[in-house]
Amino acid sequence: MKFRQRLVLILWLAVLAGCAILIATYTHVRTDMSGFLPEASTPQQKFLVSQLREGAASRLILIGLENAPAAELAGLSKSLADRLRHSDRFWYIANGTQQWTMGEQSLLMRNRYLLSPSVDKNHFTAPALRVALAESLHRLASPLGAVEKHLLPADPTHELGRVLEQWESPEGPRLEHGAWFSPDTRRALLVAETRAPAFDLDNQQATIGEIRQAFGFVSSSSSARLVLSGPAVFAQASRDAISQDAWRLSLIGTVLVIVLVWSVYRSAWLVALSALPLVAGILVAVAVVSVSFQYIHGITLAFGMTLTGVAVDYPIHLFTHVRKSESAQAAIKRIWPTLRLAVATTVIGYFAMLFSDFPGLAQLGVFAVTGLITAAATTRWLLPLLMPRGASSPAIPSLSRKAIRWVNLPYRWRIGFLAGVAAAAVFLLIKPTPLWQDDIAALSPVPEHSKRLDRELRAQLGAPDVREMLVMRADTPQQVLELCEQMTPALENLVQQAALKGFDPPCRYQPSARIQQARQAALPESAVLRSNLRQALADFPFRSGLFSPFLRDVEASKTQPLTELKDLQGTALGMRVNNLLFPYEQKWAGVILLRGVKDGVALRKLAADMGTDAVFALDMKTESEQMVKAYRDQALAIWGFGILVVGLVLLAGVRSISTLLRVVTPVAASVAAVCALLLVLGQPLSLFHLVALLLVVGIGLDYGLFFNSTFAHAEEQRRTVLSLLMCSGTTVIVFGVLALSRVPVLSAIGITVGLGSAFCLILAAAFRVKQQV
Amino acid sequence: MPHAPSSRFLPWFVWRAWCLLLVSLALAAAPLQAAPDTTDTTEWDFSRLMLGFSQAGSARARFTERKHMQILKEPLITSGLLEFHAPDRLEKRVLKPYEELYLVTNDTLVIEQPAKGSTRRFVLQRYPVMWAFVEGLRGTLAGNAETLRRFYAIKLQGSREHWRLDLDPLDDAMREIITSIRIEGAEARIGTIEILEKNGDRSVMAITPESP
Repeated sequence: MKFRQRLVLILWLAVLAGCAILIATYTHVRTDMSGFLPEASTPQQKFLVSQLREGAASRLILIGLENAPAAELAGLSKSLADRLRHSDRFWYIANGTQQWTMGEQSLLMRNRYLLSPSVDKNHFTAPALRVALAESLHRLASPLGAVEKHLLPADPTHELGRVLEQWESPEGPRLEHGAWFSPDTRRALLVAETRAPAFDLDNQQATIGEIRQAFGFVSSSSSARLVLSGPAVFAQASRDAISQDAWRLSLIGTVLVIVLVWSVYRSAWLVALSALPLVAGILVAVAVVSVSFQYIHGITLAFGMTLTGVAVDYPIHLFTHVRKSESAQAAIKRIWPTLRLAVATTVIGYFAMLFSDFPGLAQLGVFAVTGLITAAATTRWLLPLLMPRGASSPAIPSLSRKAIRWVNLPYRWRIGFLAGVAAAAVFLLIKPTPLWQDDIAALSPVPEHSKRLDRELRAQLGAPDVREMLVMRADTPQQVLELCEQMTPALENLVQQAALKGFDPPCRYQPSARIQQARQAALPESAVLRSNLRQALADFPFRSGLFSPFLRDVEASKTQPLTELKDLQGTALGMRVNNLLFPYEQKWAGVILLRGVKDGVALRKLAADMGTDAVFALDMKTESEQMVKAYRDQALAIWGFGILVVGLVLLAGVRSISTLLRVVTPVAASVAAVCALLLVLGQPLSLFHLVALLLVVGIGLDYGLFFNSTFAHAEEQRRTVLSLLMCSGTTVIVFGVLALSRVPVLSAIGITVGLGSAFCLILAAAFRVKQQV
Repeated sequence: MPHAPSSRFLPWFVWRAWCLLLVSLALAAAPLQAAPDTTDTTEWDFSRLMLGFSQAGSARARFTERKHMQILKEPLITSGLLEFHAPDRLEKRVLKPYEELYLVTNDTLVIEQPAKGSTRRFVLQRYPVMWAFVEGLRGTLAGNAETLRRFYAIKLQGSREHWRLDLDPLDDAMREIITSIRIEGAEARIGTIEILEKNGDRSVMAITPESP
């Protein structure tokens, strides 16, 4: 090895080692969707992203216990909840067993005249008190009221009852043996709210681990099974599923590829070398992305590795072209012009992504560009150094003769393929189903059965997905509460008009200071109340002097301090309010959750009528779909531009319009055919498919360029065709295996690239320049 | 955002009320059972009494309930119909001074107030004390004296012709409310149920069987 060559090798090793160290010490992988999604541009989107990242909904873990008799499950539910309530990882655990605590009771009792919605000027007149006393008597007579009687002397108008009614939600899960159950009583249900925010995956994972451990402890002698769902569980499950499947399937794919590569090249050393460019490319790409963005997103990593996958083809071209009598250097020099053009077109295509203002896309662009350039450089300057002289496989001459016969088949049947592609194009134009899948849930790599479990648990818990809400923003919590109170009457109207089923506003639980002061002012003077009560009490059988605690409490309430958010801290009450009223962007935000929205227009009008941009209606699903769509639209625009540039580069490279068409047409036709086939299979296209199609374009251009390069002699042509068959074969194997994955993302990428690669090869063969050399 | 779905927040005192309600409902049902004619001359005791109650059937009775409370100058009086349908349907229908219906079926309690047009539905199992209580009494009605003993200290006195059964709750939470339940009757027929509360209040329900 010459000194210069040795220098190349040392330099290369040093770069890789540097990248590896950098990755190990510096690289921070982010996995939350918000790191990949575009910077939110509207207040709605900003709020949506913040809620996805750390909203209370994103912190819920839904727990189901099943596979045991109901009584046993109820017991397990109670012991599990008890254990978890002692942990500091949860805000609260709900399973139907917990009532108001005595502390909460007395808090509400103490503040009943400030919190009760019925307190006004007319509430304590003699006639109103008569009605209240009659009702009290009725309650006393009923078994239900009999034990309330110790509260009666202080609260004859039943104010505590009214306050509690506010807090009770109309629908809850079925109760069985004192615990929440699914309607068929086969599953006990619990809800946990974690302290860790949804994006803190490691902390969430520890939290989930704690639930599993606690369940293992309480269920040691039971047949019961634990099922979990919720955003954190999804995140963990998809991380696990992806890494499991990715490992397992890559391993299978790799073994198959090794078998194929070895059977052709007959050398373990070459098999090992074939992985070098890809490995080097990925290492450098991860390092460069980490340094330039301070983090790398998990999706960038996955997509980037997918896009860089085309680099596996580079060493195959080299290995196939090395002849017995020549050095690898000579071979790489021969194929380099074509390979260089192939790499350049792909890289330029991906380069367009660098200009995206979406962090995810820009990262992906940097990743793919650096990865491919590194892989190509490794193939050009490093691999030949490491290949022994005469590293040519004896099997190649005979195999390549067979190869050329195979690729002549599609050429002969090209009319048939033309018809097929035309049919696909027509189908795409008149397709009955939507082309794009914009549901953000479809981007989640969670298997369908997990999503089904989640829907089931939510339905059974009566906790439908939070979808629609009114969002209020202001400088202080008081201002938010006042906005809320302004809107409440209009919302009640909408409920009356059946435009929505119900709503859950923060001001119901925590009235603004203004309202509380108004209620205090409405409480009568002591003397007035005393006289009203005396009039009202005539001919009721209550013992005289019974209601002096009532007189005392009303008097005290007139001047007592107002209830504040901090009074509720650390109670179940506080939890409820915290979910609806919380600090947001150095200010405060409140949400009014809406149930059963029938008339979205009326709601948006209501928000607009407030005449301030501090209030807006938010439909989480629609908004998130719009973000995904915006993302995709920008990606498409950028890629469209990239493809245009690629066309020009190609034209400059091949200097012939007809060759250009022969290179480009099979790629376009393959993309159309794959899209049509995916739609027929019932898979609307998502971002994953798009990225996979981008890889198909890269691969397809390579095939076209190599098929249509000018060959010096027949041997050269035969070897080129064999190398293309090998490239396509390895791609189809790796991605075909990936298509078997249970994880939707992986299988989508697998199907798309597997099919695309096969189509590209067949169509490129069919439309190639038939050279007789 | 969405908080735990919850109707769990029912005032703690409501279950206490239900305990009382169930006491009266379940006990009131006891005399409604068609009693077998225990004509044999063997000695009369608790197990014989239980045997009498154990024969389930459908029946009706009129009741008048007087509630004596310290906070009231005079007792509150209600009257109406009690009904039992084997195996688990218990019904207390107040007719005077207003109409109201309390109905227990399996694990559900329904309270209907026709004047307000309201029907409320509750699940018994949410209130473990009361639930234990119901199951205990149902066990009794099925002739299971063991179950009854699990919940009460039992004292039977008097004769077959005029007996008195004292049930003193064993459960602490129940003892917070009820000191004793005193049932008087003749043969396998209940005449009165008296519930003595810890604070000195008491309610007395007089029962007159009616043919269905």
